[in-house]
Amino acid sequence: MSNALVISNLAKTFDGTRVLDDINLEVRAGEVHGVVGENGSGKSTLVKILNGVHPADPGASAQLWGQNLPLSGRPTHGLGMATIHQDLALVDSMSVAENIGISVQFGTRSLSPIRWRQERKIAGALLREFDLDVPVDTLVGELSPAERSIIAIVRALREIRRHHGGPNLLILDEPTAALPRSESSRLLSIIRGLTQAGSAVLFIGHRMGEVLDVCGRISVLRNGTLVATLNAADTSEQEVVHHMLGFDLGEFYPPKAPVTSEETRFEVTSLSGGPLEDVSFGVREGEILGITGLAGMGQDVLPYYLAGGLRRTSGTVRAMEATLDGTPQSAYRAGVVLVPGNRQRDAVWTEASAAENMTLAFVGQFSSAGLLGHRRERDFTRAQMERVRVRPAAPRRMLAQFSGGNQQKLVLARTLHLKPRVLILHEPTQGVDAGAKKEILGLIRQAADAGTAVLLHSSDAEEVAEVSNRVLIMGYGRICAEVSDRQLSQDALLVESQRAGGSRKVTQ
Amino acid sequence: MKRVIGLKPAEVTGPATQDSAAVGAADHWLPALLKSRAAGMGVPLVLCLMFVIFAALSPHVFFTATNIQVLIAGQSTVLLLALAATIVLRTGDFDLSLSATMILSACAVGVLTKDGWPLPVVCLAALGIGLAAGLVNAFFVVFVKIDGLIVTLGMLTILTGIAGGLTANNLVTTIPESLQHFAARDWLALPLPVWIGWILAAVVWYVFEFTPAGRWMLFIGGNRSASGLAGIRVARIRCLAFVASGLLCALAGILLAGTLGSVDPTSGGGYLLPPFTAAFLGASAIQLGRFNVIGTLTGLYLLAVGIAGLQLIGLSNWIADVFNGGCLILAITAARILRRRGR
Repeated sequence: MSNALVISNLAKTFDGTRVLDDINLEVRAGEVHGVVGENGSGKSTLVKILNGVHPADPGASAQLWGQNLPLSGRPTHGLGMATIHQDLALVDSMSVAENIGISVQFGTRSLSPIRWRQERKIAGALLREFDLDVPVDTLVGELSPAERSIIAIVRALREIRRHHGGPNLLILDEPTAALPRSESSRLLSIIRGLTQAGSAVLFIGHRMGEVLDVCGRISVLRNGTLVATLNAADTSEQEVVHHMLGFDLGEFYPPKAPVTSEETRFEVTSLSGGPLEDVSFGVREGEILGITGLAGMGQDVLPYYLAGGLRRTSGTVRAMEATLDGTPQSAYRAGVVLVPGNRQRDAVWTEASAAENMTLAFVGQFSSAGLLGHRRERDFTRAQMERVRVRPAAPRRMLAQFSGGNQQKLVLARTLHLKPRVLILHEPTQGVDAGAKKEILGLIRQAADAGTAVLLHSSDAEEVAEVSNRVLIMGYGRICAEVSDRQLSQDALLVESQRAGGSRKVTQ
Repeated sequence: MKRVIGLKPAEVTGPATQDSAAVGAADHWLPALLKSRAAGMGVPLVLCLMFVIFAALSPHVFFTATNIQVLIAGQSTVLLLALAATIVLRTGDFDLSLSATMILSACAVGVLTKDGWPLPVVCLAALGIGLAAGLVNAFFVVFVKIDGLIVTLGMLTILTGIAGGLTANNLVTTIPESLQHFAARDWLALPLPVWIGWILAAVVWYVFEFTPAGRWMLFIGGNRSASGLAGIRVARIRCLAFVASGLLCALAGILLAGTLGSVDPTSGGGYLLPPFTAAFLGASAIQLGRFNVIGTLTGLYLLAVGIAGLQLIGLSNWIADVFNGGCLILAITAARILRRRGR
């Protein structure tokens, strides 16, 4: 019994696209095993297959504590494994004891009375096991994020132990993603403790430092292939990232060009509306102005008050001589184009073809003598797709069949075709792979170099720091700080963001 | 603050691995396309099959020129309603008030004629009813943002009520002679209302497939939010769709009055469902998952052939309702399954 989980020849194909290919993975008993990879590398698909959400392709096999795991797309119980998802699936309005008990239906039958005294005793014992000093009657909503994660772990353990004595395997899917750093260290020490008595943890990781810190070995996924399994003690952050990306570290971000023009292309004065209060700034010709902050500080809605249809209550928005009222139409007329953050919802219709999505905003250009030139439209789209390297350059293909990165490149190509004087980007690289991200940021820089004023709203501090000429930090709907030139670094942005919105947020 | 990776990702050297996967997928996009085209031929194929089977079962009654003429002529009214339904459905809305708009217009033709108004005025007034119904629907659905199903269900009831009030629920028989002659006139063996329906179908088909407006309607139906953010005037186009739908129904009412020579103000119920059945069957034909004119026509004639055939081989009138309702449910089921597979 030296292995908790052995996966052999696991593959998964969705609609002819291989998302996992020939995965062979061993999780040893007593080990925290890390799995890392870029967005879309197959991490979550792997977890879903182990949990029986999707069936694996035929030919795969897996043993959990020496027993066959069917991988049939149906959930399995009683084999000594549980998964804790990012969202934890706790009920905030119920007590700790209730949340812990519900995983095993309170150890009783549907219509039998719940033995509350016993339930509270079991919950209390489990909490003591994890040194968690909270009364079992506390509502889960009142706990700190790390405590909530621990409750989720406790609940999973109770469920496992009910069916299965001995060691167990916990799969933790990015458990620290929602935690501030101070809280995550507490959770990490709990995770290390889980492997006592031969149990194992499969840790799907997000932050490299934490993964190296807590894991014994680390498996790296890239584009659905397991490219390496490394000993945490013998490897480095650089090496892991190298395996994740598949290429050498070097200049990833496009070189910045200094802003030479003094002409302000886009000017927002005292804008208020929704969470926003008295927001003022200007963007010059050729400048990339980053806007960032902690989640929910107003930077996520600002783009939509500028050009996405939300109406401000006061203030002015001007693009050169034109005044914008917030609607997309008035923005388009003034040469201001928004690329929305939620691509699936706000930018494309995935059941239409690539060509139809590409020409959405200017389909009239392909109309002559009252007839839409479908071939001209496709040829144009193919040329654009080749220009921004959308692969495959197949204009008739349904958009849903392209990867997120390719879809986003297509949206950007369509936006740039309009030759906007002001480009407003909301999370332009969210959910795209590293290659596409590099190309997208390159296109954005190109547009700025050609004179477009760019407004980059992003929660990715590194991206904002590396791409922008100047960055505004928002806190509670206001612009709290501005960082530019030499001071501009990811750390500076993180510090300022925390200062602008942090204190109140953690205590809330 | 989300921090994706603690380190800078780096330069792409040589083709990245995901390219090879993408190119591999490119190899079979053409068969996939053909497959989707083939799936779109399902409903037309069923139509042909049904026609052949009924022709074989009943060569002397079903498969006769007269029967086919009657079959086509019988659909001229529903054809216009089905076009109206398709227009509104394409923009992602729903208009249940089609049949009631038609019946009210038809009643108005008779009532105004009885009051001595000349035919052109009568026709304009009838069209005005359609225009008004479309505008009211559009106002509540698009601007007040009430669910279209509820608004148009209310309109259906209101318009039916008004038709009853206008006619005291009696059969309207005062249809102008000239209108009746016009509607009965044949051209190339088919009555004029059929040709009017086909010409309008061709116009709508042209708008759908060959104009930016048709594309915008398609996108508004597919993803309203994305359409709006791409600068498309979503509200205006949705309103126009409701208005076009109302006008088509009013025209259907005028032609119905002319064809039948009398209007029963309570006969709207029979016209409620068939247009939607045709449109939904149409969305699982030709262009899968899209409301399209050729599909709607196919769906319409599939229903007609099915019902006529079943009646000719001995089933009585009740089969029409059962067949209509059954096809509606089947059409939506088929559309869902085909779309899932088309992915």
